Amino acid sequence: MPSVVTANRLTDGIVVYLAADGEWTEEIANARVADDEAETKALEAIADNAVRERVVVGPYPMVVGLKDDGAIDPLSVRERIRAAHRTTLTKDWYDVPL
Amino acid sequence: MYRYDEFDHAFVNERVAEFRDQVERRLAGQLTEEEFRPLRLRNGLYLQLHAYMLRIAVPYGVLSPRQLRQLAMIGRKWDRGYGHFTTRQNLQFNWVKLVDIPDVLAALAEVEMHCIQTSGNCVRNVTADPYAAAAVDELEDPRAWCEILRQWSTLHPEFSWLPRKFKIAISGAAEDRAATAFHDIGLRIVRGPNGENGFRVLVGGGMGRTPYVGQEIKSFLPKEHLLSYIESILRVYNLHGRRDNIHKARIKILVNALGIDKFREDVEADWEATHKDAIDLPEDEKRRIMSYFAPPELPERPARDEALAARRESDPAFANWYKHNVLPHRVPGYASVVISLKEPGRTPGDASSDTMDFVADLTERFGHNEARVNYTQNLILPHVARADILELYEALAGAGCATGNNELLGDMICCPGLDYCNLANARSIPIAKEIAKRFEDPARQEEIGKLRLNMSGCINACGHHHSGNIGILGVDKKGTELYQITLGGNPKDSASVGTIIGPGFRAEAVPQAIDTIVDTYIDNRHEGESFLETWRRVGAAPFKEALYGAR
Amino acid sequence: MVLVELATGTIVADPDEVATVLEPTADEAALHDAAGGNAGPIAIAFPSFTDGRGFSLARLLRERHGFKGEIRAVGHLIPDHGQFLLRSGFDTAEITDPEAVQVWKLRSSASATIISRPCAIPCRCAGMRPPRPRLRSTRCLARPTTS
Repeated sequence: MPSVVTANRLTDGIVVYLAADGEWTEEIANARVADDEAETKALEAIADNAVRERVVVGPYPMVVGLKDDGAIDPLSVRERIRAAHRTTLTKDWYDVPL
Repeated sequence: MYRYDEFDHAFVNERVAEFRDQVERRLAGQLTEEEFRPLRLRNGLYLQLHAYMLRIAVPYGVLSPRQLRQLAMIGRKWDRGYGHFTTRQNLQFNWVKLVDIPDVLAALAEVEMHCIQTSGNCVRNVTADPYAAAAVDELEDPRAWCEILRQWSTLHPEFSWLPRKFKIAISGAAEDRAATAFHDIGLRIVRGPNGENGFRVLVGGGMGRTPYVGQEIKSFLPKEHLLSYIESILRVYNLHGRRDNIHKARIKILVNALGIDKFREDVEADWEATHKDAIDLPEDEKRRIMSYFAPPELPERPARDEALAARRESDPAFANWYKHNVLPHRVPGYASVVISLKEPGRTPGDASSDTMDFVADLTERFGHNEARVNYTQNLILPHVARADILELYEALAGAGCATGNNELLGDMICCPGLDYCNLANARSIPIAKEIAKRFEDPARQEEIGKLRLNMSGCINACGHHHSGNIGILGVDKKGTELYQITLGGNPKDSASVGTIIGPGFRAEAVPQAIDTIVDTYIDNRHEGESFLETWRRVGAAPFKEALYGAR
Repeated sequence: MVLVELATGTIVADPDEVATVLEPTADEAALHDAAGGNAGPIAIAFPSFTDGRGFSLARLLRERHGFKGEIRAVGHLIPDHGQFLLRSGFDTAEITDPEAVQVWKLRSSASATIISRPCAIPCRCAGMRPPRPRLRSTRCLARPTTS
């Protein structure tokens, strides 16, 4: 199952994803997708190192969907809200669909 | 209000320096996240869904205009221009950067505020009746006792690493407006056998996944022994509370595992062995702290009741606001005024920096330089001359803060839920907004009457759903947000935990379900009966029938 | 493994041998036995740095059992415990990382006001004298200075 690794950045807590270039990105669209378990483990190892390097906090892998055009689809409400980086203050509740 | 002396200033500044050092050690790798976590938590700093969240204590819910303006400034400079008032007289900022926190704490210290022990397994901010020193039914102002407990519990050498968090609330009035029965320790100031005031002590109340109403451990505790008695409760808890399971670590679990009688026996035995003189507060120190809480001088003012009456006659919106948001004051010619943070369409309890500045101005113009925070997530001007009420109303109405729904259905308690919170399973803010929209018509809320509707986005119950007359609990069922409804909770005297009425509802069905419950109440109520009274008389059957009968 | 004197943040060159080790589950009888005769240092174990039972045990040893000897904290400790340990009656803490002594020292001295806040008597931890006696319930339980 396709997976990405996400975490919060240590300095400001903002939601980030491990990107293809090994950096951390705020855009889930730029996240690196692991196609199998071995690849996911490899991403997790990179993330663990980023914890030791004090770049991110609490990384975890999550299964994502891939749309027809290849866009990454966070599956749960929680991950959709995280990926959206915003709350109901600026958008009404249908912005992150039920 | 309480004013910091040299000691308090030095103390809080040292805490700021200490946390600055801890942040530096974290960033430099000398503290792991595991080690840093309890340290940041006891400075009120969480890592939430989107960012760090800073929880600021508003001790006993009292705010000065200077403090409000500083909070507004902090919101603009280091956050996104708004904060959230919680159910425990705290203010939360949702988007503060870790690297900025020491500066935020320093800015708070400038106005005698802090985040110390607003989280972590220690004694939290001690909360109080928000109408202290104003309410007509008050026996004694609880705030001095809150301040005494705040000083005593801050960095307490023995009780700073408890099995779990510990919350204390105090009410000094006939009506419980501090939800004391739902605290680890609830204190009610009562008249004793010889006519002197003392404390009725409740222990083991709480919400969360195992809700309990607090039980009486002592019917009358002489006031001078408050600290030594609370130390004995905390010592028994510290030594014997469970540490193996976070969900069973609160004192309520220990109290109910032992039984209140055995728990009381253990506490009394410890108390007997205590050198009370060494712990209880010296009389002169007590008097010193009490002196800060002298009620303000309220000059005699003509009430202008005819003008108020005329306006109520001619302006239904004003009449509605006046009926619900203007409360009697112990001083003739004065009133307490509730500034609703529950305008339909807004996030319940949120206040923008502009609103904070605006309320600061109001406290200076009309409120004797004082605002209060209610656990129902509203602001209060406790001391307003009735002669100023019309002018105050115009100002509030102009700023969209004159929603007349205090204690009505629209006055929902609502936690941040999955929109912000790392623990949440479901969203609560959007549901609250939808319900507010459904019941927006003041006539509909008037028809229903007083009703406490509380909502939490997870079982931890920050939104007090257990004590709502109607409670809504968001759960996650296989990836779908689902909402369980409880009925019959009550945070006041004869407190009770609500009972689950049946299967949960999908988000979009919740407003209709609330409508159905309210209609069932109206159909079944006797003249003048509250929701709670009807519920207690008729039981669950008619509500079940109305909600699920067709299924 | 080194032993830090909490009041000064310095390493104890020649630690005494511990007479009794108390686990956090120690009951009144165990406290009584340990304190009896003031035989020698009592070590109180901290299985986790979040487990605060040891603070109560130290205080009980001092207040209820009249123990006047050394109380030593052992186990999972962090420098931020220092002031709590000192004020609840501990004298020393055993730490694994000698490098951390400086941090322990810093944390102790940075807490001068905190520590002196409740002191009604001159004691080992005295940094500043308090402007006046404060809430005595949080007074420092460190032993009075003998000199």
